[in-house]
This record gives sequence, structure tokens and C-alpha cells, in this order.
Amino acid sequence: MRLLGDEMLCWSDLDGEHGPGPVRGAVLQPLPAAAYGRTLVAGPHDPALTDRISTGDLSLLIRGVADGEALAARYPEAAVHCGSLGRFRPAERFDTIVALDGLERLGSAEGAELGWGRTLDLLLDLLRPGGLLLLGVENFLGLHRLITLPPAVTDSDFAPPAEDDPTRPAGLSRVRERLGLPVARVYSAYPSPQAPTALLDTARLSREDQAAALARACATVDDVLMDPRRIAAVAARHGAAAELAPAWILTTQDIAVPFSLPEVVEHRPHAVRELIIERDRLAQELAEARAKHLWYEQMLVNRETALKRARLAATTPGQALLGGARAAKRVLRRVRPRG
Amino acid sequence: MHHANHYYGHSSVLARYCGLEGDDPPRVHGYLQHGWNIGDGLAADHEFVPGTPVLLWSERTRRRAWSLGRRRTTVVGSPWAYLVRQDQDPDPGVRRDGTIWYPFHGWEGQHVVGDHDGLIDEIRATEPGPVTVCLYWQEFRSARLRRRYERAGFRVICHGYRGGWWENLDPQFLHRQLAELRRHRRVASNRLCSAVFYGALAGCEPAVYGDPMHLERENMTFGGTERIRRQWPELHGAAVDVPAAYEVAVAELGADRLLPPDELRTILGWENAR
Repeated sequence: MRLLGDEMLCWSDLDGEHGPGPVRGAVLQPLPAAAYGRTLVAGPHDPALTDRISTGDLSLLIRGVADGEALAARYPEAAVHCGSLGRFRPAERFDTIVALDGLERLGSAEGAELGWGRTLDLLLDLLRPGGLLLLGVENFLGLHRLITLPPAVTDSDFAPPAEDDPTRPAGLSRVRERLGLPVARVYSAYPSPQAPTALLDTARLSREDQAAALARACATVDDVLMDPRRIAAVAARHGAAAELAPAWILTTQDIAVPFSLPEVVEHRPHAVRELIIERDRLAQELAEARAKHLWYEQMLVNRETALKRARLAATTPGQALLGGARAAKRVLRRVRPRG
Repeated sequence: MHHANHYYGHSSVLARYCGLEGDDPPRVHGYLQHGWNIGDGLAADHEFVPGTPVLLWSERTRRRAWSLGRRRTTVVGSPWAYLVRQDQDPDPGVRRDGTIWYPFHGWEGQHVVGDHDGLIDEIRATEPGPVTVCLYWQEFRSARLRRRYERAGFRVICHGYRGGWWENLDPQFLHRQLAELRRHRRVASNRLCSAVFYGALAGCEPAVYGDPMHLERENMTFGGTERIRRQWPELHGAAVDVPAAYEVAVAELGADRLLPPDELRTILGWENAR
């Protein structure tokens, strides 16, 4: 493993503890399988994807030292480079660059914040003319952002928010323009950029097929404002599956990923409406528990007062007091007979 | 709040910058980074309350601190950078002379194991002009060590006590250091440390060379001297590219991110102090 500079110690992207985890998913496998010649895998990819690369000349670029060591152990024949893209100066360009995770995790906390545009330029400099680029790009207008609660902030979010990056093109047509290379295919990845289960070539698939795939793919999305399956199917029927895709994967050569329906998953998403119902139920339970608590408290206080009075009566001064009171009562009864 | 906020008179420097009396600065609402750091900005061995606001010198340290799980991080810049900005050089034209050398030191808890004589030979061989050696108070106290450097023909000084646990506080520490640095043309050490960055910002030509020495029980979590050399190559060598080194010093000391006094007062929790 070579340390380039800007490598991050005490850090891992692959373990998923500091961020969303590496880009992964069986549906993506045909893409790295198409790699040829001198190949670079840039950024955190699930090793199951890297395993699919069959060329002999493999280079891996990763920013966490622990990840670099793990990759070096798993791929002893590969050249593992640990650090940021800004510090990577290979001797030769690459025939294939696999960057399905996107560009955000090619920089590190140690280095300067390059921005999406500059990072893209650096990456393109490493590609041979006519080479194969597999690039993932997150869509900030994607369904995953429109209908879910904002994700929790993680250790990976040390940079300014990516949406505010002025060098980042917004929308698929601007991304294609900025790339500057002929784009052979665009796949829309659902339901999330890091773990897609459906990869749709919307230019070639029928809307019905898209709707069917999305209905299944979006079943696993959680913490949603409304049922994602319905809205995704509606988007597909309106021909908007690409515009609302959580991420796009652009390829500069014609790599066909065969269409497949994601597996059926039995899952009930937590919609906000359900969360509200649950919250109201818990609030009701809490109110009842409080009322009970107050009632028990009052009862205890009453019992304690009664106990105190009884103890007082059992003592001598108390007895005298009570005895005197009783004697006085007897006198009164003789004086004023009950009648 | 934390006793380390008063190290080297940092809190006093900030108080003066904010227009307060410097000798008894109010409590800082947070933990102020007290030295140049390749970790999350805090001292690995210090205890502090989780959720404490962490006040850091540089954007780079803030990014690193965030990636290590710290969330309440704010970049305020270093007290040194505020001092250099406030105390303009009274005689900028005065000819600086010689080198001020900071041999890498341990601190009260760890000791340095290494060859002082070897270092002395290397200093004599490398430095063209007169050499001032600045020792940490713990080493300055050792007459034997002082004499070794004096016998080599160096002028031996100390900037004062760092201060700790609210004892031996010295608000003038950094002022003395600044005055000394401004008298010298070069600043050097055998390890890249705060003093080298301070000197670079104060207009000295920085240099890092010689045996970096071995610190007892050194914390290697962030890669140690090997990583520092790899990550900050602009500051290493007997003669460096001065403008490039200056830019790095500006970034590491947050000199490009200094806050106006009102904003700093708010962040430090000093709005109500007079």
C-alpha cells in the first residue's frame, strides 16, 4: 500500500460506521465486470464489486488507512493508493475508471476542499482518450431526498454541503454537459445512491417495466413522508424516473446492464403519518400513567396521615388527650341526655 | 473553563484582542486548542466534558475533528495569529539576525530520549549566523543541559512557564516569544511544531531538520513524525520555499480566519464581560 498524502488515520469508509458505507449492490455487478485494460477503482466500493474486475492491472484509490490495509490484503496483486485524489499522480493513465461511489469521497479531511468540478477534472485527467468511465452522481432532487426525513449527520459530513457547491452541475443534462465526454448510457439508480437495487436505462425501458421495478425497489425506503412505492410508480408512468432518480450512473461506453426486477421485500416503511399516530398513542399512555401516579400518590399521603393519627392515639399524651375528650363527651351526655 | 485555555497566556491574548483587561481573562466557554495538532485539536490526554464547544485554530483541524466525531467545532484561529495581527512589528526595517532554535522537548509527563550533542553538531554545521536556543522551562531548569548548549556557543533562553492547572500563569509568554522571533532571521527545530509555525507567521524563515528524537510513550494514533514529514513537506528541510511555507503557516494558524472582536466575544461567551 502506498501512502499518497492526505490519508485519513482512524478512519474507514468501508465499515459504514462513519458514513453511508461503500457503494454496493448485486445490480451493479455487470458494470465493473466490463472493465478492461489498466483499471482504477476510485473511492469506497464494496469488495464484491471490485472482485468482478478481471483485468490484471488493477489500482485502488481509497482515503482511509484501515481500508487501504484491508484492500491490500484482499488484492495482493493490485496497487493500493491511500490518500486523496489531489495527491494521486500515477505514471500512466487508465483504460477504465470505476467511480460508482461518486466524487465526494475522493477528497479527505486532511486536504483542501476541491469541489466537485475540480475533482472531476482531476479524475478525467487520469482517463485515456476513449477509455471507459463509470461515474456515479447523486441527484439532490432525487426521490430519496424528496420524501424522506433528512439523514442523520455523520462523521463523513465534514465538508460544506454538496448542494451548495457552485462547481457542481445541477440536473442530468448539465452533468452530461460538464462531463464533456460522449455518454453512451445513463442508468437511474434506485432507491439510494450507495445501495441501489434497481438500475434503469430509462431511455430504453418501457414505462411499465420502470414502474414495476421502482415499486419493488422503493419498498425498503424508511422514514418517509408518503408511500415511496406509489410515488415512484407514478414518476415512472410520467416518464420522470430519470429526473427523480436518487443517483445516475453514466458510462462512456455501451455497457448493457440487463433489466431485472428487484426482489420482493416484505417491509412496511415508517411513514410520518404512522410516526404521528404512534406519538399520539404514547402521549396518551403517558398522560394515563401520570394520572395513575398522582392518584397513588394522593392515596399514600392519605394513608400516611391516618397512620400518623393512629400512632399519636396510641401514645400516653395522646391517650390522655383522647381520654379527656371522651370523658368530656360522657359528662356532656349526662348533662344533656340524648333524646 | 478548562485550565488548558490559559496555557502560554492564550486567554489573556484573546482578552486583550476583545478589548478586555488581559491579566484576569473571563472564563472561556469551551475548550481552546492550545498547540498545533495533527489530531482532533484537543490534547489526547486531557479530560473534558462531552459536548463542550471545541474552538480550533484551522479549518483543516476542524474537518479532521468532525471526521473523528466532534460536532460542536468552531474555527476561531490561533491566539498567536491574533497577537501578530494586533502587535504590529514596531521596527519592521530592523535587520534580523541569526537563528532561534527550538529543540524538540517533552513536557511534564513525557521525556525526550535523544542525543543532544549530535543535535548541537548539526546546528553548528547548518546555521550560518548566531544561534539562540530556546528551551522549554523543564529543560531550562537543568543547569547541565543549559551549559551544554552554552558551551557550544549558543545563547540559551526560555520564554517562561507554560502554566497549568491555573498555576504559574504567564500572560506575557507569547509577547516575549514574538519579540524574540522578530529579532531573528530564521526559526528552526528538529520537529515541526507550533514554534516553527509561529516563527513563519512572524516573518522568520522556517526550517525543520536534524534527528527528531524519540518521545517516551509517544502517541502514534495519527502517524507520528513520519506522517508529519509526509503531510507537511513544505516545512521540512534546512532551507525551505519560504512563500509556500508561509502559506501553510497561515492556514495552520488560522491567520486567514480571524474573527472580529465582537464575534470572538460571542463565541468565547464573553458578551457580558466588561
